[in-house]
Amino acid sequence: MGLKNRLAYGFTQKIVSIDKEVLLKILVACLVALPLIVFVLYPLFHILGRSFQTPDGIGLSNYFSVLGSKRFLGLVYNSFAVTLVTTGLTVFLAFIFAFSIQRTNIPLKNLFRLITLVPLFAPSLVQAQGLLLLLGRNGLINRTLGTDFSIYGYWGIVISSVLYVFPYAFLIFSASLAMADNRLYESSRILGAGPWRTFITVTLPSTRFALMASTFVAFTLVITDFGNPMVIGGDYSVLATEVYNQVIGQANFELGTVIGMVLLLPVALAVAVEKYFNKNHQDQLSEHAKPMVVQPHKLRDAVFTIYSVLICLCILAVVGIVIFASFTHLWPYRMDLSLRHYAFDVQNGIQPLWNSIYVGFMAAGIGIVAVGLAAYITERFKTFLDSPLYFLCIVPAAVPGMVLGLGYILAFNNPSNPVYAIYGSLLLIAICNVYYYHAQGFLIASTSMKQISSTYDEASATLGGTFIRTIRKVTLPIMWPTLVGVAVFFFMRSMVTLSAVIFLITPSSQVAAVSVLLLEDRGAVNQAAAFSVCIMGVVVAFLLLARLVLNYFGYRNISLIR
Amino acid sequence: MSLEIRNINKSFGRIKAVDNVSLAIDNGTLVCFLGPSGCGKTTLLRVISGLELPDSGAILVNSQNMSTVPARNRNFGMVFQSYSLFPNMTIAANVAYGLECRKWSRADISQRVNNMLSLVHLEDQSHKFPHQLSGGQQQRVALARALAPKPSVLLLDEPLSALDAKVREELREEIKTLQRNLNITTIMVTHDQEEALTMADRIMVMKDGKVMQTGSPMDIYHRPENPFVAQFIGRMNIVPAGIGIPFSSNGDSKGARAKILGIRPENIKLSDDPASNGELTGIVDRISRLGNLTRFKISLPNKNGLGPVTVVSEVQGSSHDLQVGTPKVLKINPETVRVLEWG
Ligand SMILES: Nc1ncnc2c1ncn2[C@@H]1O[C@H](COP(=O)(O)OP(=O)(O)OP(=O)(O)O)[C@@H](O)[C@H]1O
Ligand SMILES: [Mg+2]
Repeated sequence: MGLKNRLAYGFTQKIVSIDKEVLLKILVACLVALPLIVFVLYPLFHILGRSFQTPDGIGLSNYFSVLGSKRFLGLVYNSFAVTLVTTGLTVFLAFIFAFSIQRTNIPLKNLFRLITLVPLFAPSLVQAQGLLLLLGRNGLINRTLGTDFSIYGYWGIVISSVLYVFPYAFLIFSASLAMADNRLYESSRILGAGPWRTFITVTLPSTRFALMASTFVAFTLVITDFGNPMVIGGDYSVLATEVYNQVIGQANFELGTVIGMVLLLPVALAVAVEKYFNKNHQDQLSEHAKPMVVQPHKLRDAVFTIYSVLICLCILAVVGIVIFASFTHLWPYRMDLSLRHYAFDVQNGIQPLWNSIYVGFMAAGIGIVAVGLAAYITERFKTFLDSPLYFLCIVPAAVPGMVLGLGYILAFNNPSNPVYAIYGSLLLIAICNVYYYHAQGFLIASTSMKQISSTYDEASATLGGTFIRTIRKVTLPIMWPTLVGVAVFFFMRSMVTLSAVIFLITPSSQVAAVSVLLLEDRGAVNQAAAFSVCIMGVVVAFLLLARLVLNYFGYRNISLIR
Repeated sequence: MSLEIRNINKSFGRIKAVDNVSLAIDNGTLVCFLGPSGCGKTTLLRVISGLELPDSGAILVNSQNMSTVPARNRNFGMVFQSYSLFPNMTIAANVAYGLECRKWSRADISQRVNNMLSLVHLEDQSHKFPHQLSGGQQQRVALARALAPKPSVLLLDEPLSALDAKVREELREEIKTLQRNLNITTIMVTHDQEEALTMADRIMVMKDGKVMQTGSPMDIYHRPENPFVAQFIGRMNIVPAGIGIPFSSNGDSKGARAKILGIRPENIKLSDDPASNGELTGIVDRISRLGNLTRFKISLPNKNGLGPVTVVSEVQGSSHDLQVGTPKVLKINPETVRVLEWG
């Protein structure tokens, strides 16, 4: 186009969009960001602030007194001793287990898989609970064999923690091993490589991201876990239990916050590293990849069957003994069966279970809206707010539950804060759960949003559909199965979580998972077990219901357990 | 409706996807945007539709500036490569969607939907869901859906590329007939030259975001204006003018000398007659027999320091008992030679 023509056309206009819908989109994005700021960043700033508060003004003296103390160094050592050993063990065991499920021809794969996932339905201290019933001083083994050994302490924490993070690591490995490019294996075989060499040169490299991810996930889960060490740790304290002891036991918020900050550091670092590598890896699986075909191999299958049976027996033993104990008259003295612990003649009775269910439903409801909108905005809006909002959405992954819970006390237990109106209510507990698990829920939603072609939105726009109409008529009807998955996720986690809510409960807003901890602490093992069983029952019932609904509408491929 | 785009520019980071494109389209015309992958066809179409905002430029419908009007209010119909029928709605509901957005009455909607579906021969499929239809049927529904609200302009982004060859040809006819009967201004994006040549009233050839040539299919095929268009549409020999091929100066030379010439292979005949004045002699290098077509590769002698030049000649029929290495005289009608570049 020559200059003459350009002059003839007269203008090269700069477009400035004044579409009302763009304003609406920005407004919606801000509305989604606001609660993230209020319920994640604001409490964190409070923790940070409080950790610098000293009797004589702002200063570092809390840090000096904690970081310099011998006790603190011991706690750090303990935490890392537990976490590193647990992480190593779990990653190793879970990898082999996932391998046997995905890469061998062992029988009963679905059963094995299901058994592994059962602990995810139970309160997050069920491992310690079960382990004590089996191996504690009054446990089944000591009682029947007449021995007198104790599982309390370091090894108790390690074993229960391994059992605790095993399903999470397994899910990561399983997903990674399920995807494989059969061509690589075929060419490896053609080149004459044996199974071991193929494993080293093909399998391991293609799962290195899963290895890394599961290592970091295991690390953060263990170092921030406090239910298991609380129950089985005995005199062996770790950082997470110390936060609890300082705050609840001694009302020493300053020291509690300092240790919380110390806990935040490695977790944030682990999450940052994991996200960094995950972002840069993308799918290395090419589009032409052919699905894996497992070669027959009798000996291999026999060995892996034995391994899988052993793993499943361990998991079943721990969960099973809890179920059994809940039905005994008085563990371990009167082992005859009885239903009396399901009468819940303890303080508050059955109320905590109902509270948990309310909280679960509220968290599911709030979670769907919060996470669904956030995913929709970051995937589809194309405004300048996308990346800041994305970042805000995944920040909670780096915040230990205890730190978040403690932040809520400091931020909201204050009549001048508007949130104080719901302080101590089940609603705040539900909100806390939503934002504690926000990153994972968000990733579930945005992953599936990515898979749903954005041309539906564009088709709707070119046909004259407004943004609201598009969401109502097109996006929501296509997205709902995923949102059911999100709801199940938030419900499940709300039912079983301890660490964030432990600081928020009041006698009237106690939830069932906390009841388990408190009853266990008091030595009421039978009632504690009964509560655990009820939690499992509710979670499984909810899962089955969701599964039935999804299957009825033909969505069999939506996975509900994460 | 007439459509005009003026000086549209659109960049993604450092990539200039659309580079100062202008085009005026008369009412009822079908224009094809033709070009290799990544040349910016889709981007330009999306800018026209309002799904993408241009960095600068204007879009006018009947001389009315639409640049700041959002996609949903432009009243353009759009058909996507991947059908993109709403999977949660029946065929009828899909077609009705645009009408509901425009608040038509129930009775009007149902009548219009029936009309549109019979227009694309799918009246008996209205209660099915998209996944129960074949690709070709889905694309016909997409067409009906786009046309139902009586759009002022129809935009098609490679509507046929996901279909297999036979269905593609059927649908090609159907789209063209529909477009003629409704007399609707249409833009179709394609990278298939055959599609463009058979369907379009006008073709705009693009490369790297720029317009290379705009014209009727005849113009584009017979009168390419530059080497890119010449090679992209059909096959053409591109030779330096200095080699001595006769040509009758086409277009305005503006006093410049022809630099590069283009000749279609079918316009080079081979002869055993002795070379008369100005005719070139070349050596047969290679012979490929393609059924009822024979293709010769001929190398011409070095001339004016231009190095050896090879041209391709295509002759109907397969029984040419020619040997590699034989010298042949090239018979070329100067009228069939295009000057592609002036220097
Ligand atoms: N959303 C986007 N972000 C960044 N770059 C883009 C985007 N869309 C297109 N591009 C780039 O702009 C250029 C033109 O792309 P466009 O899709 O318009 O090409 P096309 O001619 O339609 O190609 P095809 O025939 O492959 O569909 C390409 O280099 C492409 O990579
Ligand atoms: Mg394209």
